[in-house]
Amino acid sequence: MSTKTKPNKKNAVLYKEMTMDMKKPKIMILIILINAMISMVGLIFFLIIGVSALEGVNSYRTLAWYLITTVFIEAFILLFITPAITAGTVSLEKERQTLDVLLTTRMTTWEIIKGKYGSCFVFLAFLLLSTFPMMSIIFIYGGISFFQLVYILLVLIVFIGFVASFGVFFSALTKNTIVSVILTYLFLLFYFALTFMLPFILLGLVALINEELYYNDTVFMAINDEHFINGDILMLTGTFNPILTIYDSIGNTIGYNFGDASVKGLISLCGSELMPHFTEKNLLMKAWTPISLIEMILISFGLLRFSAFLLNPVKGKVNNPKKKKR
Amino acid sequence: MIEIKHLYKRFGRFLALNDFSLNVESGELFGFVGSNGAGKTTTMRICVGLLKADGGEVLIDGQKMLSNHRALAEKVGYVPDYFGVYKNLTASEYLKFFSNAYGIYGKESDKLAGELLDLVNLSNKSDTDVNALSRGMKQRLCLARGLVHNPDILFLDEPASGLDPKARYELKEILKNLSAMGKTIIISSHILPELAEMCTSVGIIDRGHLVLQGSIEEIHRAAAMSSPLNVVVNEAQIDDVFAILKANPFVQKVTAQGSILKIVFTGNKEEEGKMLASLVQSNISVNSFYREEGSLESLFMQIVGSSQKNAGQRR
Repeated sequence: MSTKTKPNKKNAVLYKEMTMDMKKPKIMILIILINAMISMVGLIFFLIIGVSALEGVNSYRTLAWYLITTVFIEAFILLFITPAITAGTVSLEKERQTLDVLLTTRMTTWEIIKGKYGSCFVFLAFLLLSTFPMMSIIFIYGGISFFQLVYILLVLIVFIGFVASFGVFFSALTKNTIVSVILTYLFLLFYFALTFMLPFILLGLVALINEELYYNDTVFMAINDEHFINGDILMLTGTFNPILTIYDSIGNTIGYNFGDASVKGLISLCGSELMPHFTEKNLLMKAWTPISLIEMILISFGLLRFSAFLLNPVKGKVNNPKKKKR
Repeated sequence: MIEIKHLYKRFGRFLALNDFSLNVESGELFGFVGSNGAGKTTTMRICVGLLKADGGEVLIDGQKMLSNHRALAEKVGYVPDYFGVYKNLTASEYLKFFSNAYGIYGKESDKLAGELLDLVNLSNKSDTDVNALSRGMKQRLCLARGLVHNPDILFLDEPASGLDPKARYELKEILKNLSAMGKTIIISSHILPELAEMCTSVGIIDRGHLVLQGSIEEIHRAAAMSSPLNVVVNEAQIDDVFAILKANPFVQKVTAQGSILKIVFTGNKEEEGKMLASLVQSNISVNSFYREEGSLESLFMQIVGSSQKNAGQRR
């Protein structure tokens, strides 16, 4: 009873979740499930490669598709798992009525959010890294280095950190875990759809506003040639879409021999004649993934800071008690 | 010392605290009484930094603490009127987690958890899952949690609510021990007699306003004075007695039951004596003059009743 408190060197919430909650069987089950799924994909691709080899067909392209498939399967699994794991972090504390008690300790709301987010992030990153051996199958045929695969994993880690921050934010915003989970899924669906379509919608709107552009050969060329507005700025809105970024990072990693997996490739699929300036030399095309990663990190940080603000019980303005007095 | 000055708190149209002021001296075991919705929990939540007051301030040892989260957290411990326990944690793990939240880790944390479990008589439940504990045990564990950082002040919001007599007795004994250790304890309840058994002083809150505060002796005295004064006189003189009583400013109400007059008298013992003397001087034959035995419950009901009546008149 004589013990005196000390400045918090460790984060108690993070420490508790990592040492106590990690023992739960659901963690092991998730690791087994995600690896089983990737293994299944690997098996199918090896069967295809085996059959192709018998027919004397170059298997590199098939193996590249193995990488794309596994990365996207992982991204989508994590996209569905992450809100389920993170959207209850704070709201569960509210439901269990433990948040108030936690708020009266030395821990600040920012420390609580960091602990909650950190434990989810570490678990999801661990889940992702557990699939690394299965993804390494691609090394058998070569064409991609160890560091290139690590680069893709890093993009995926930033991606899960980004999705997790939305889960924690809605968890701090609402009192009910189910509401929080639903809001997180709906918002992410809306966010991904909007950021995917936004560059094209904006480019179209600019063309609509300026009728003269209709008379030019191509809308997007005109936008850039006339310097009415730089198309790059509008295309930049697409960098907020993490799925496009994952797509771009794979394309850039595999190389431009397989460039149709990059954003440049995607644009060319949409019709490269519309956006002729989006070549390999275009700065936005080169820096798409780094720009997007920085944006994701900044958005995640902002959401977490805002979550900490939401948790602060003595925030905001006070009512004037005498104003409404009756 | 805790000084609560002119606190206001409004929830929508409901004024939960209305110019609420209270002083609690260091080392006191202070009972905070009020009916449901009187403002006890609101006051406590403001004092521990879980709610922002719309006006007023709280000083602890002369310092404004509400804007300094860490200093406040160091100084006060809070046990709300719910348990707030984590599933899948043992009693010992639960206390260790909260000691970690105060920066106490490792062997020090283990030792502290053991000491606290010992203090609340739960040493034999150290490895028991928190959810498997009885209500009384959970309450004692929560009390231990409020003590992990050895706070000077402890706020307990209706800790005896829902406990059986044995658990209540155990809780009272622990609180008395803590008080003997020099801790300032503020404990809320809507049952005045329950608090009167263990508290050194009591404050009664009604409609967000402090209506009575005093030491437990003063409260008992007030309780004794709260019952009607009975005066037995000659029936033939009843009209004269009524006339004399009507002139006394401390007489609020007089009802006659034959030769017995029941008087609601708000004056003190001295005023009582003066009233008896005036009756005797007016040649009234007073056969008996006594107060019915007062109870804390009747005092509480009288105070709350008159407070509500005054509020109604103000409206």
